Amino acid sequence: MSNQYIIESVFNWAAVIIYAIAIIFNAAGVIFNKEKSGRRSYFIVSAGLLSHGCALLYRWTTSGHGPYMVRYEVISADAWIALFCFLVFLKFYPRIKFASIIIFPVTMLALGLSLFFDPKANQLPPSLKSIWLVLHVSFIKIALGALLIALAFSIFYVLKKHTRIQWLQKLPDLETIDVYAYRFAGFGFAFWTITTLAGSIWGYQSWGRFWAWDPIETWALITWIFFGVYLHLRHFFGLKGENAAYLFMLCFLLTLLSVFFVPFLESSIHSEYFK
Amino acid sequence: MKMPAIYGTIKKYILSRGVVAALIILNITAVAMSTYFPQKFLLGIDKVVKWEEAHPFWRSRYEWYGLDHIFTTVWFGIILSLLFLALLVSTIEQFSGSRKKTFRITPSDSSSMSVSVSRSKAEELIKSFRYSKITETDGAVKFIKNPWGHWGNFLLHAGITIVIASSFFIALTQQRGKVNLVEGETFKPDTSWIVQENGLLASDFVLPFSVRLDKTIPVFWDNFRVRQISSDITVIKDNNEASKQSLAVNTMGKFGGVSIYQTLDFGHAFFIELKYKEKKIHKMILELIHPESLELASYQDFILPGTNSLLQTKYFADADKKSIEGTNPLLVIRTKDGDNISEQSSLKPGETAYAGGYRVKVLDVRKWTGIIFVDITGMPGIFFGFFIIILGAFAHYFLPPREIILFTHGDKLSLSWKATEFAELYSEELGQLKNKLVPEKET
Repeated sequence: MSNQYIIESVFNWAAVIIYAIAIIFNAAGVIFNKEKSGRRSYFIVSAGLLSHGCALLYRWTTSGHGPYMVRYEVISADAWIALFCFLVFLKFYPRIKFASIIIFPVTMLALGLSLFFDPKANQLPPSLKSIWLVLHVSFIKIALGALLIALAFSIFYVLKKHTRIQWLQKLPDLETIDVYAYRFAGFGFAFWTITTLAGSIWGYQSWGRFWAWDPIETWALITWIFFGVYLHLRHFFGLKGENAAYLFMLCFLLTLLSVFFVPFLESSIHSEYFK
Repeated sequence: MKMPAIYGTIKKYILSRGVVAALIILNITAVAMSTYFPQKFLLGIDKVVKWEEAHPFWRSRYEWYGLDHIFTTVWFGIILSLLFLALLVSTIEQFSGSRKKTFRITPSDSSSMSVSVSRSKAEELIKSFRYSKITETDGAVKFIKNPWGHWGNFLLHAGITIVIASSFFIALTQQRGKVNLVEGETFKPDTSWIVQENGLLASDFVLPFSVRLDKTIPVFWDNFRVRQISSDITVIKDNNEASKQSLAVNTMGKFGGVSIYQTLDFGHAFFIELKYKEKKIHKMILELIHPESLELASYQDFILPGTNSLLQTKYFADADKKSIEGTNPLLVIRTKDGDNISEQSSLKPGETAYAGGYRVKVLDVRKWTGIIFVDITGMPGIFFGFFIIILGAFAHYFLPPREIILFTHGDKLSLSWKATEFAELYSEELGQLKNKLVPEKET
C-alpha cells in the first residue's frame, strides 16, 4: 500500500469511527431524550465530516481530478455530500433534525462500503475533462442528499402512523412530516434537473450530442419522470400521506437502481468511472 | 384573451386524467423498452443481429414494430406529439392560473381575522415580513411573499414543452457525419462518410467546405492511457480560401454553421505496397487503432485486393517498447487463406518483408484520427428549455408563495393569510404576523 492510500485510509477510518460515535450520541439524543448528547452529536459528526473531507481533498490533489472515477471515491463523495447537504439544510429547516437518525448511519455505512473497493486512482480520460462534468457529478450528489432527507421523512410518516414507537411521537405531526417529504423531493427534483442540463451541455461539448440514450441516461430520465409524476400527483391530484410515502420509496429505489446498479449492467460513458 | 372553441374541446380530452396518465405510462414504457431491446444506433447492426438470433420470439416482430429504433418510429413520434400537445395546453392553462393566483384578489372568509392597527401601519408591518404589495382592488390589497413561486409550475411546464419541441426539431433536421482522416489527407464535400446520421427530414449531409488534417497529437498519462488528443485542421472553402482550426476532445471547432469535434479514435496509418509473385502492385492504407499499452498490440484484418484472403495485422506503438507516443511503430503481418495461415513478419517504416507469397513494403506511416461534423439547429432551445425547467422548479419548491389580503369587512379592517403550498412549514410566520397585527383575543 502506497503512502497516499495510507494517508487516505487514516482519514477515512478516523471518519468512520467518529461517525460511529456521533451515531451513538445522536441516538441517545433522539431516542432516549438525552438532549445534551443530541446536540453534541452534531459537533462530533462535523469532526467526522472534516476528516472525511480531508481524505477526499487529499485524493483530489494527488489524483488530479475530482471523486468521479472509481467506486471507492464516488461512493465516499456521495456520503460526504449527503451529510454536508443535511447539515446545510438543517440551518434553514431546523425541524429536519430528526432525519439525522437515518442520515448519520447512511453516511457511515456508505463510507465504510467505499473502503471495500479498490482505491487505485484512475487517470482522467480526455472526455471527462470538463467543468460541465464537475457540475453534472456535483449536482447528482446534491440531489441524492436532498432525496435522502425526503426518504427519511417518508419512512417516518409510515412508522409514525403504524407504530407506537415512543421517540417518533417527538416528531412534528403527520401532516408536517408529509410536507417535509414533499418539499425535499421537490428540491431533489430541481437538483436532478440541473444534473441533466449540465450533462447535456457536457455531451454536446464533447461529441455533439445533448442526449445519447445511453443506458444510464435512459434510466435517469425514467427516474426523473417518476419524480415528476410523484410531484404532479401531489400538487394537482392531492396525493399525500401514506400513499405518497410509498410512491416516494419506489422512486428512491429507482434512483438507487439508476445511479448505482445500471453502470454495472450496461456499458456506457457513465460506467467509465466504474470500470 | 379568448381562446377558440376547438381549444376547449382539445383541452377537455388532452388534459383528462386518463389521457395524461396513459401518455406518461406509454412514454415511460417506450423509454424503458429501449433498455431491453438493443437499439441499432447505439450498438450497431452486428449486435442487433446477434440479439435477434438469441431471441427467436422477437425475430419477426422486432423490426416490424421498430423495436430496434424506438425513438425514430412513427408510433413513438405520435406518443411524444400527444404528450407535447398535453404539455402545451397545460402550459397555457398554468399561465392563466399563475396570473390569477398572482393578481386576483379572493379573500377567504374562513381564515380572515380582524386587524388591530391602522391600514397604513398594517401595510408597513406586512412589508416588514418581506411581503410585496402586488395589487389593489376596491379597497382590498394583496401582498405576496415570493410571488415568483406562483409561476413555478407554469415555468416547469413551459420548459419541458420547449425542450421537447427543440428535440423534435433537432431529430428532424440534424445532420451528422464521421470521417477518419490521415495526416495530410483532405476530405472533400463529395467524399463518403464512414458513418452518417441524418434527421428524418434532412437530406444527405454535404459539407460546405473541404477539410485537411494537418496534424494529430495524442498525449498520454504515465500508465499509457490517453490524456488528450488534439488535431490541427485546415478548412478550405470553394474559392480556396483556407483557415486553420485547432480541435481537442471537449474543445470543438466551428465553421460555416458546422460544429467540428475531435473523437477519441486515433492510431497509425501504414501506407503499404503489396506485390504478389511479380504480378500487379497494389497499394493499401492500413488504419490501425492505437494500442492500449507498450506491451499490447491492436489487431485488424483487411481483405487482400482481388482475393478472398485476409491480411491479418497487429500493431505495436513502439518496436523497442520504449515510448507510447508511436514514433517508432511496428507492424506485424500474416496472410490467411481459408485454413492456410502464413508465417508472420514484422515491419518498421521503410522495411520490406514477405508473407504468404506477398512482398510487403511499408512506404510511409502517419497518424490518423476520427473527426465528427455536426450541423444542428435548435440546441439553444434545449438549453433554454432546461434553464426554464430549473427556474420553475426553484420558484415552486424553494420560493413557496404566501399571500396576505388586507380588506375591509363591515367597518373593520381584516386580513386573510394563505400559503398555497407547504402551509404547515409556515405556521410560525403566521403566528408572528398575528402577534403584530391581530388583537390578542383573536390570536
